[in-house]
Amino acid sequence: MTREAVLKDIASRIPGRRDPRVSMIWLALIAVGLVAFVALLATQPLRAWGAYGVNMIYFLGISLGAAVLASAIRLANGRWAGPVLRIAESLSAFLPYGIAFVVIMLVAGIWTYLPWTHTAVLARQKPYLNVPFLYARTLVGLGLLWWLVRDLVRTSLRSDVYLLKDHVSPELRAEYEKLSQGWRGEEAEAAWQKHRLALRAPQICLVYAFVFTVFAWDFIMSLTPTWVSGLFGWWVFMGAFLSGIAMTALLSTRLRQARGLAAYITPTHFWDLGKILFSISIFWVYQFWAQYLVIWYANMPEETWWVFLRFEEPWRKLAFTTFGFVFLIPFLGLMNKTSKTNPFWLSLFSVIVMAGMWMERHILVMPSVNPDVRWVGLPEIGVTLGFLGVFGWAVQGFLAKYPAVKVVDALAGGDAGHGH
Amino acid sequence: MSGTVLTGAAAAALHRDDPERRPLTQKSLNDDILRMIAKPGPVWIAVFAFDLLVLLVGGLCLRNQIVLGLGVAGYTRPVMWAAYITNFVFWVGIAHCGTLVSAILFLFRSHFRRAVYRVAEAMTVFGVLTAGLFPLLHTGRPWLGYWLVPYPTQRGLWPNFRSPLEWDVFAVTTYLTVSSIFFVVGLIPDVAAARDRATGKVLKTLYTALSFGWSGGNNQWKHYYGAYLYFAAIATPLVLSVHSVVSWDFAVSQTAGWHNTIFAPYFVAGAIFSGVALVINLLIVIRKAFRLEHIVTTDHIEKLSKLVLLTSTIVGYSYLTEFFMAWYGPSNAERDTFLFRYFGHFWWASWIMFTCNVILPLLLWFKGVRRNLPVLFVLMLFVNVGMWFERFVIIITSLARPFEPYAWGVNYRMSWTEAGITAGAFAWFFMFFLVFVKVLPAFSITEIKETLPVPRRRKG
Repeated sequence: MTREAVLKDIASRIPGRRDPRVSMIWLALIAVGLVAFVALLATQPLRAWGAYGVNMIYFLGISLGAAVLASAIRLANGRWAGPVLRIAESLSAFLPYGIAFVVIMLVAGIWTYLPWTHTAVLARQKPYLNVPFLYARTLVGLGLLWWLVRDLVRTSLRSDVYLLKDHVSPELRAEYEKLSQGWRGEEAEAAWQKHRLALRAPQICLVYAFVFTVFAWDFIMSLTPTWVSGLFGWWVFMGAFLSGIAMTALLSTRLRQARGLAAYITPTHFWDLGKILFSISIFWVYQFWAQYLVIWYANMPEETWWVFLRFEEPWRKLAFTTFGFVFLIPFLGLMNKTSKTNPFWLSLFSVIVMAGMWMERHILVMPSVNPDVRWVGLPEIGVTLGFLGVFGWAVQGFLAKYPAVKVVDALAGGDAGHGH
Repeated sequence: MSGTVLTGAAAAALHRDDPERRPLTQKSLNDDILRMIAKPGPVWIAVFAFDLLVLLVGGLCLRNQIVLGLGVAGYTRPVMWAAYITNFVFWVGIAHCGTLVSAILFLFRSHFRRAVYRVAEAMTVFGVLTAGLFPLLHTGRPWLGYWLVPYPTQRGLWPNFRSPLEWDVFAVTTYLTVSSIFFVVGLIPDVAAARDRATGKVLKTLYTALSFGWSGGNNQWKHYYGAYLYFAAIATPLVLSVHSVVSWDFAVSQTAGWHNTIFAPYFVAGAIFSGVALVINLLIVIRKAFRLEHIVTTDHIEKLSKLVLLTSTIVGYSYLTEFFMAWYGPSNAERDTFLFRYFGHFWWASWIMFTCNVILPLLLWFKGVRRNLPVLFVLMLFVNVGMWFERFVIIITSLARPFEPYAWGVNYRMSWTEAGITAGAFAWFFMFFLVFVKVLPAFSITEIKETLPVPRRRKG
């Protein structure tokens, strides 16, 4: 295909506006979520905020994890991802919504959700466990991260929208003109973009690691203020990264089919996405094991209780299912090449990993909220559907306006850098 | 028109002056690399003689310790692990870089590894050989070292599998086995090239043996690449496992300052940190000494230094998390240990560690520093000083401050014997390395050739 033909082809695959039927699904899910959350809030407020907290962490994690994927690949000069980078970037459309969810939690939820806001805090933990500082560190951290990610995505979009602006439907044109304002010519822009992305990519990875670590301490570990694990934050943010990769892989297979992008998103991309999914899943279990072994072997009662609580009823089944879904099934399933390159199998394993991570966030949070009753059931699924609705709505909005593949890389031939 | 020609000629002249742009062809590559294998010059001989002298001093110290007992090694209750275990962890850490560069970067298709991986792999094998000395020396009776190996005997002696130290035996020997196989397999085609040029009888026999009958046939290449990918996949989990197991020597105990869940990935990152730093040091010296600037370019070194920056960040993250957990967590002993670590008797060691591992590497954020080789060389030396002190600080400060306060105040001092053996270990490592650069192709001719343009009759 010639350059013009590629641009025309990509532009013709941008819907321009939301598909009303799909929008209806997202809105219906939001309604279900609202009903479930309000019903829970009226009857069992702690359970309601527990479910809210889990999904807040989970969906924010997917969105940020995908942004980190887009940054990490650039940071490592990885050329394999090519057009797929945009799909990872599209998930960051949920970030403002996710941060809004955090703000709601901070304003209304923490008084129920975080025990230390209404019980006695150890004197020496007071400088950390206090509400003003919690507000400050959460909002500053997430705000900074949002700003960085937004800049990364807009920088990455800029050259694409410039190339496409003469080919897209008129209602998008104004938006495209605005994003590519002050175009300085292809070479100058390419140099500027390269420099800007090379700056943002490490910044995002670094800030993400620190912010999500503190986020994990604040919204999971501090549910039981006397229990600590040094690796906990790192483990939680790698888990979020894993779910971001899984969502990117799932969306890539889905968009390739729905928008007929087979010319740009190839099985080789799936293969590489599958490999990174496989390896980070192993890394998840490695970090789990690094914590489990150390705690189990030293056998100190102040830390073993937290682990054993989750391995005993009523949590036992959930814990082992999580282990199977996040590690065992993808480990066995993604080992061969076919299951990584085949869109059906890759999307199936991505869904399994995401379901596993969803359960993992529950097994981390819920037993600390209420150790005696397994609060993971239909009401929690209802709340999750609400979050999913918002997530879907946000990402749909992005993908309706912007190309689903990175135009510059699609022009360059997509999967450069293959072969050893 | 003539203007362009002039510019071209000027540019070519410029390239001749720039050692990084020396021409590189299929033939000159073989010449450049195999030229290293030649009769050693006076500089090499002088360095090697000095190295053997240091090794001799180390050997005499070892003799001293064997005759007089472990008391000469500065052990004082409660510090019963000291410089030897520090050295053990340090050298295992050094040994990490090779497999990272050869296996993980291979799987990641990071092509810059091609020019550097042989040196890194050799360093790995020699690093493990050095590390393996220390648990044996530390036992006091190294000739009974085979007791660590589980095999049925009439003595009914069976190692304690619940001890992390026994896990080390397995982790380190597995690592040594796999990294040696990886090293030897990667060498085959290059050694064959050396074999075909060798004139001396001894070297010819050695190369013939190491090239395993390589003739360069299609079928051999097919199996070679198959095996390489296969070993890369096997070696990758080992990068994580070895130093994780080493970290569990400490982390699974209840000792304050050791018992921390972050230890495994934190040790792995620290190991890669120190390993890559040493590879950079070695490469800077080798490329200068053998005039190989066009093969190991500043770009390659810059990419390695980015790895150092990444792992330094992880190490810094881990230090900060450790402080936070000690302060925030429930254990008073943990908090006290960290105060002691940074403000107690060994404060200087802790601050050397923190400065060298976290603060100084911040300079690597600047491209100018990453590309300035003399500065980078010095910086990487500091990194390894810092990483040696990291292990020293972890081991000694935690042991010097046990739960029972009656033992406080008797503080460990490194003895001359330990210092001698520590220096001897460096000499032992460099002895292998110096022989390596003179006997085996120190850069992969095979893989660098893959990056060279194919000669064609007409351009385009």
